[in-house]
Amino acid sequence: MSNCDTIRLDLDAYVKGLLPTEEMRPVASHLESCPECRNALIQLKQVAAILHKWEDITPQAGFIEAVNEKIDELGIHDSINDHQEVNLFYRFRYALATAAVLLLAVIIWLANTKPPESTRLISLNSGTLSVQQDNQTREAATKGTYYINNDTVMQTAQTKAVLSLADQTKIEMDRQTVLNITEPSEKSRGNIRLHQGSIYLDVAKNPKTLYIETESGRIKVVGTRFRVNHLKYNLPARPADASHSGGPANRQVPESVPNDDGFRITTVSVDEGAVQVEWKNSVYPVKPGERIAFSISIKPTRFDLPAGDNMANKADYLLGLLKQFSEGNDFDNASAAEAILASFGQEIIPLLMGIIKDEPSGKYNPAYLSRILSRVGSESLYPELEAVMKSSKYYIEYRSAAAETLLGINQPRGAKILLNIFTNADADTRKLCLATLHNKPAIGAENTAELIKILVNLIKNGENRDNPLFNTAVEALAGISDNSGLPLLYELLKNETDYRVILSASRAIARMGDKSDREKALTRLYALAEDKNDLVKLAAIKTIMCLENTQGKQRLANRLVDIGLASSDPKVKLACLETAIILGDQQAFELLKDIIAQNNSDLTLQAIQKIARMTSSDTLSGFAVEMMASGYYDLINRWKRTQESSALTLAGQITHSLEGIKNPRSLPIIRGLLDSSEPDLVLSAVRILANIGEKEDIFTLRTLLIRVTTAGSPAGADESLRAEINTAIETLRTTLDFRDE
Amino acid sequence: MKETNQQVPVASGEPRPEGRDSVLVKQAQKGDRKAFNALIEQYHKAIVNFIYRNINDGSRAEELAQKVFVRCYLNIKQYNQQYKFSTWLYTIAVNLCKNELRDKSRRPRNVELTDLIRTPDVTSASPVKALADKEIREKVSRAVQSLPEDQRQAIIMSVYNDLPYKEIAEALKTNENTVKSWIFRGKQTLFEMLKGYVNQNK
Repeated sequence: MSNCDTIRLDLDAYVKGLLPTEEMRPVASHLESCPECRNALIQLKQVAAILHKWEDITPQAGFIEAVNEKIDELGIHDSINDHQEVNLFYRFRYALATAAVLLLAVIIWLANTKPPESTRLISLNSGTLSVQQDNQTREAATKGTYYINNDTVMQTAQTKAVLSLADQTKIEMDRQTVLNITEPSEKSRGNIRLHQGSIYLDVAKNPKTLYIETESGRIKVVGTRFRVNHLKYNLPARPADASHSGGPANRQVPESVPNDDGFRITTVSVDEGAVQVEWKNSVYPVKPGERIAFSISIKPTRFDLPAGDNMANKADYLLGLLKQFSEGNDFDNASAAEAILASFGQEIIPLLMGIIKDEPSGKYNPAYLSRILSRVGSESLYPELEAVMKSSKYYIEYRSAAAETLLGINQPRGAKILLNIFTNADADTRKLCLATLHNKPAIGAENTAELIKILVNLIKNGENRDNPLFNTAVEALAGISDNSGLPLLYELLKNETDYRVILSASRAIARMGDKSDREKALTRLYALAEDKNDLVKLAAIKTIMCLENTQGKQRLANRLVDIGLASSDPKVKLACLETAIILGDQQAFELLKDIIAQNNSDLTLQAIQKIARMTSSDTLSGFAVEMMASGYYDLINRWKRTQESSALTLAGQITHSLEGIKNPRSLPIIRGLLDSSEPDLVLSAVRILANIGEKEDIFTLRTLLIRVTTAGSPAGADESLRAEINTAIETLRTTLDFRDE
Repeated sequence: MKETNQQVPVASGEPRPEGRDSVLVKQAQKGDRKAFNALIEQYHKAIVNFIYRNINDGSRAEELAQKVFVRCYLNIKQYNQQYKFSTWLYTIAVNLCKNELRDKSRRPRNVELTDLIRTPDVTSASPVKALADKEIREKVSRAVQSLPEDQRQAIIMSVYNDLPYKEIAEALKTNENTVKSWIFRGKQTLFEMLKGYVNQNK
């Protein structure tokens, strides 16, 4: 039994492949013999898949600015020490008129900061470098000669840069690569420290050795051409081999912010000559055409795809390789997979395309296939990708991967292709097109205009809301992310009459635009909120509430209740009620009264059910219980007045729903119900407390018992109530003891 | 160990740069707002989402995440480089979430509108299942929300923010085994609540 408990602690790591091999075996052999743990394992896997249905949200643009505004409001900006020094630097920098002067200044500055003997010259042949020294960053312009010293950290941002050292050794730095170069000595030419990213070296012949160091180990070189990747979560713009052939200049690169936490893998691939990897006192030679991967804790391992055409073999080999690299380290498997796969460059393309076309088991994550393909692939893949994307004979997941890759390689061109496909496609393919184009920030002005046109038409013709394309189109219009579409969206906002189009367009504008854009969208929505049609009003108000700030929302709440009271449409009333409760508006009580007064059992029942569902929300639970209690009094009073049995049935519905409450956040209000004048409500409260009460409720219930026994109130229900309270106390005591254990 | 100092020695007796983060943090400590902004840029999405999944309110999550970074800026000199910068951010976020939920439970009326508008990044596989997914998403968020605080935070960090157990343990100020057991128990509870959806999720 205790064995199971220890095994179970490791199951989560086991499922994710994070367990070191030596710990994997006992888990695996225990699983063989223990059906219960096997079951637990299956549950973990299944629950992981479902949990990932809850996707990330994208923070609004302007987040950084908002933080800065808040900091400035606090007025602490000026009190930071060292601030003056930094400021001086910036003032100095802005004062410089031309890049040439700036360059000169950098050289002078760099040369002056360290003793002359440790400085050396490097040339920057192309690209832009940011140079960091003594914790200050300076931009260096392209081309020129610079003095550097041991502490000069050179970093590329979004473009490549090519450096050459004094002996004509060339270093090609990929995007987002960070390195520094240390001082030469009698025996060595100095070391290149690769902190992150990817470099390609063309090393000049020289009797002295050159070392490339990474966190994982070091690589000894005499004269040769080879590549070193030192990668973790993110890959450089182009992987090893693809950067040789040179991709199209306007190619879109998926966002990649270097993330510095966690595990890194170094890979080395040699084109010419030979290098040696030195790792923990052992030497591993690497010859031309060979690849080797290593990390701090994993010894250098050669890897290559197995020869032959058997795709499954190759894929399984890669999976095995990835497992091996995940041993003993808490890191994201997928990133290592990307690093290794990308180091194959274009060689990996046939394998990935093969998986997309033929792989039936679904063990490869399509999103992840498309990310790698987007990096290593080029537009020559387009015909093949387009064919997969269009044909229903492939799995929808992999078709989606193909569509994403179309955009990943070149967003404007890919978008154009998808829009072409859209015109002559079946409903599934059309949906796939729209879902892929949703939220893509750089599809280009022309494509955005075309897309908006298509979406507006779809929405306007979407009278039948069951048409699956209608909802997708509404979402997609709201998800337009290419700024070039803003003018068109404004036009829609001004001239469009279909309120559904306006709603989606204003959501997109508010998401993309700045504060003033948001204001404009809101103005239009407020106008829409005056519409004659209740549903339009309501939709506008719901959208406003999504865009407004807190005060704005509160102002709106009143309006909402007025609409609800005035409308004769039950749907509108219900929606208003729901939103008013979400807003925590006291007038929601009025609205509920009004609904009950309609004398429409169906409507009332629906309202009760809606409120009952809200009790499971942490924030709304207490309020919802109060609403239910209030509804109960209304119904009981109505029954007392009119003797309508339907009122009594509905009141019974309320107590029934109440007793299903599981959320401890409603406890304070439930305790309040114990003082109610309605015996049935008291009874329900007692039952709820028996289920979810806390320690203090034993005391509360005892007090109630005494009160009921001595005062004989509430009348008529004494006997059964006393029994119920006693049972509740017992139940509560047992469950609390159990919970304490 | 990842943190060994041997393999990449650094000149001039400076501590080994942890790479971009530590360079940026050092600059930020000197008052460089650009560097600080780069740190925000790097982590804000993760922090917003961490808070969002704790309180299930997107716009409020953004406000709180802004608070996290303001606090971080105010205290950046106190930051101890022995922990990862991100761990420190999560520690601040965890505290703010706790306060938020406590305050909310005290004044149940004064609630924010749950976020209706934010459409999650649709980069995932099958758009045909989009509608069913939406429903599942709501169930998932409700289920996660109903977990006890420790389990909820450990699960959000592990499942959605991909943090290693070690970092979760540091951020929640406990040990790795406790984290593992929170995650295991939490996931079991979640399975019970969500098992109805397992089959729809082929």
